[in-house]
Amino acid sequence: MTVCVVLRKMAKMNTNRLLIVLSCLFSHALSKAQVFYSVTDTVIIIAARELPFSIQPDTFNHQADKAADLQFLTAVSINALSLSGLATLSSRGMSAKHTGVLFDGIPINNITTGVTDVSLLPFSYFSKSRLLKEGMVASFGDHTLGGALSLNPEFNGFNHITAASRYNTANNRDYELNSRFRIGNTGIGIFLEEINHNNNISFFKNNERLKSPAFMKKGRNVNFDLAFSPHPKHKFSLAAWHQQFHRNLPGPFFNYSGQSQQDLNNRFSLVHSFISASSVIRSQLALLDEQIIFKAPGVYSVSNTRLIQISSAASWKSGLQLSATGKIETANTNFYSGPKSRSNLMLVFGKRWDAKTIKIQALVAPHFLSDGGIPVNAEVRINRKSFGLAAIRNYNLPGFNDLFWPSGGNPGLKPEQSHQLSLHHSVVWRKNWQISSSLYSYWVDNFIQWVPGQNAIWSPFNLKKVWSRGGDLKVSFQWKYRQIHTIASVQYTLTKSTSQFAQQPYTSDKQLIYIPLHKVVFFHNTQLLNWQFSGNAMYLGKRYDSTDNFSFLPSLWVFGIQMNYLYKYKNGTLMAELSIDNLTNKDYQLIRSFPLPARNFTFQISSKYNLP
Amino acid sequence: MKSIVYIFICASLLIMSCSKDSDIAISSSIDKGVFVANQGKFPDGNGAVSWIKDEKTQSTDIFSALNGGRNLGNTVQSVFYNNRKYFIAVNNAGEIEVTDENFKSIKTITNAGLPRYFAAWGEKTLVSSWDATSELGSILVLNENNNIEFSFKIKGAPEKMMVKNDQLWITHSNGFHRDSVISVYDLNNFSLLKSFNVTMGPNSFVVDNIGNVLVLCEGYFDWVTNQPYPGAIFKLDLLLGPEMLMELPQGSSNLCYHQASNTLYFNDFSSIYKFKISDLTYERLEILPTTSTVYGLAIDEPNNILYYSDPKDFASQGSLIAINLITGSYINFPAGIVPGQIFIRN
Repeated sequence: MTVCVVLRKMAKMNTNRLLIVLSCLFSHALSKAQVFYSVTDTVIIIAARELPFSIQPDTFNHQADKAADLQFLTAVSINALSLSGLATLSSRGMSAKHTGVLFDGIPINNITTGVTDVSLLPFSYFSKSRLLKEGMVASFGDHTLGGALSLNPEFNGFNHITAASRYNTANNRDYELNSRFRIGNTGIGIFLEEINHNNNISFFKNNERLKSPAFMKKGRNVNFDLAFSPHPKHKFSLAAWHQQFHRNLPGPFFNYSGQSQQDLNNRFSLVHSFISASSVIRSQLALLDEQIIFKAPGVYSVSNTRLIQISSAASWKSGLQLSATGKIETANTNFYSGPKSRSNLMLVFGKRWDAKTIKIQALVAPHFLSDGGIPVNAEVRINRKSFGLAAIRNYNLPGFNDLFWPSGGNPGLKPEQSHQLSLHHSVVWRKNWQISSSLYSYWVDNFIQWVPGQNAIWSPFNLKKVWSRGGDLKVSFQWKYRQIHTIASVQYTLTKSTSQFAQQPYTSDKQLIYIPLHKVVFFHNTQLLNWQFSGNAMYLGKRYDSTDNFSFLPSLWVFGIQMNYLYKYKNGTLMAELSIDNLTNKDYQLIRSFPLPARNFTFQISSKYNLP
Repeated sequence: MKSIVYIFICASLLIMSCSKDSDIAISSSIDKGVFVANQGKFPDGNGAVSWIKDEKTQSTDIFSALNGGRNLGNTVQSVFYNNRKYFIAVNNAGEIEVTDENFKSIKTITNAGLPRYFAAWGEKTLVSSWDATSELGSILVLNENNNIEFSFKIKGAPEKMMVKNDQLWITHSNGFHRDSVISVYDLNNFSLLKSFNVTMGPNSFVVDNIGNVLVLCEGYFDWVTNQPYPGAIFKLDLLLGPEMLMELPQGSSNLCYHQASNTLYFNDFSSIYKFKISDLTYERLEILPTTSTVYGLAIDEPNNILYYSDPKDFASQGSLIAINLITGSYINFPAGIVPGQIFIRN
């Protein structure tokens, strides 16, 4: 009776109140648990940055081999033009321009478009990537107002070579070589990935199963990392990444569109750490050199961009933190009226207080722009036992296309401004259970919106307000009994992201496009002797694809399973793996008219050889 | 306690995920009315045909409503009626959908290039089509059985057409490149009779009440230099060639003719113009102040109504606005996403 009464009362609550009640209920429930401890104590360092302690990163527990798999991270939305087209990621209802993809702490979001094409990422190399869900501008600079995906390679020991070959029923082949070895006290990693995709995709159109013609995607990722310590007080790390791809881009439902794109990217980062008894100073030099050539009927566009960033960050045992980051961005294109550049300097002043049960950190980061503006980013983070709270003010600079697009660009644009509140809670209960939850609310002002004007020319203006709020809940379980080891997790994400725009009242309070209100992900993995079985299920809620929510893509469930066998021999291992994606043959579209494959199979063989 | 919490999560999921979207029921026979080709949001495209009759939007997506929920696809460019059938050009999908008079699908023609517009040639229907792979477009001839009976290549991006005395007049628009050509073909043997050079971007024809062919050109906008090149209106004579009547604003398109008053109407992106042929003057017509963009234009002369389509932000439901040319009153009808071309069947 009591349960029914409570359920009826909760049915009448609005979304926000319901979230608060759920969060309180969980806190109350867990406070009654007999054994628990916080998981927020670990310090995470990315390149020259020590992350604020209250960050609650989300990591993969599912092996990703394509952009759509990134959706297994909580709070992430992926927009993908099927397998071979552009794929972008956004976090917590913000756009792809506000979600950074970090290479050694440097956002690799393209200088002209502001987004990163995650369909080109070497997922096997960056297999320990972390989603940082809160605004991170004070730590990583522009494009991280909505959070960041930090690309992290897995360091699983040295002196081994791994080779893998993968074949998918879309006639796609991948080949990988990954070696890690140590020479003295120097660790070296070399990774090579060769992609040869034909993308003959089986898909659904109007409930009919069809097969697409080939849309070729060929290229490679080459990654190199090196770490050495010539002196106990000095550490160096170097990361380099070469990316080269050429692909034919499909039109809607894989019609031939005459579009193709070439990407050529070179990225380099060198980090030096000086560690003394009372302080740590980390310095970084980063260089990104990127080219995109896009062709379509009547269109030939070439974009060459370069980023140079020098930064130095110092933290003392007293809790004082100082850093300075100088950045120069340049773009040479055949569609801007001449070369464009922008430089800025961000200073960070911080203090951290550590007491027995409470930690507090405050950062103030003025951003000195070449146009004279000085937006000031600021944040306060508090951690107490298993709870964390962050209050953040972040800015996002207008992109180069916003400023310099021919005819329509607006050089007078102001930075977008965001105020954020984020609350999270994470505990381990009875050693086997880990439960983490978060609530957030982001208010964004001066949101840049493109609107049509005279002569059908579109221009951007700081016109819109966006309010994104929601939360996520993740429950993980692991269990070991003799030779059986099981991991299971379920996560739920609620993302309500709406806008206010006086010029377009029909869009007010409507969910932003392609952001699902609800997302649920189940994951399970069991190891038994040499066998491993995994299963995953994802529920994507209804996604609107018109700004007035007139049109939408329906909700759906997508299932996948994996099975692999590991054979151990004297100096290494051999693994064979079979994956089945979209097990129930759903019409699965992240962007309308660009379906992801129907049920498809991937077979992988990999071998790891331990060097003597 | 744990079980109660889990029940709350499941219940909240159920409560928050249920919603119902309304649908407009079709209650009338599809014998006349105003049909709007809604292009859909680019590039994902959920194109549709809206149908307005008896001063009411009967359906924002009549094809889907009457064909089991099937979608037309990416970028519905135009809709047309001829020989007791409706023809729908689904441009980016490369398809022509043919339906009966009840809008039930008869055939989907898939090898149609990038179809644009239609013209009636007796019981046959002519289709202009672009090609993404070359600089040559096509003209397709659909026979009574909805098969492509004949096709011929044509340079550039053929757009709107007109059949006059067994001659096919074709505008070569600014498709993938700039163009300024009008072609005239003999429909008896599909040979080129004449080719005219006019101002850039010829896009639409009318024939006035003394038989003159008038063509409207939009001019051109150079995105790189931010330079507009004006449009113009021409009178075309097969023997005498083109005669420019007047220079017009850049972007002028959708030429319409009101025979009774010998008046032309056309639009650019933000305005509608009324052009008096007799004294070669034009003026802006008053439109709804909430209009974002004027995209499509058509005239219903028997009823003295001028229709225009407003796609708003090009990513939400647009509107069809009817202006009564006698009283000056407006009616606003909901349409689909990015309403464009308007076809009137009386």
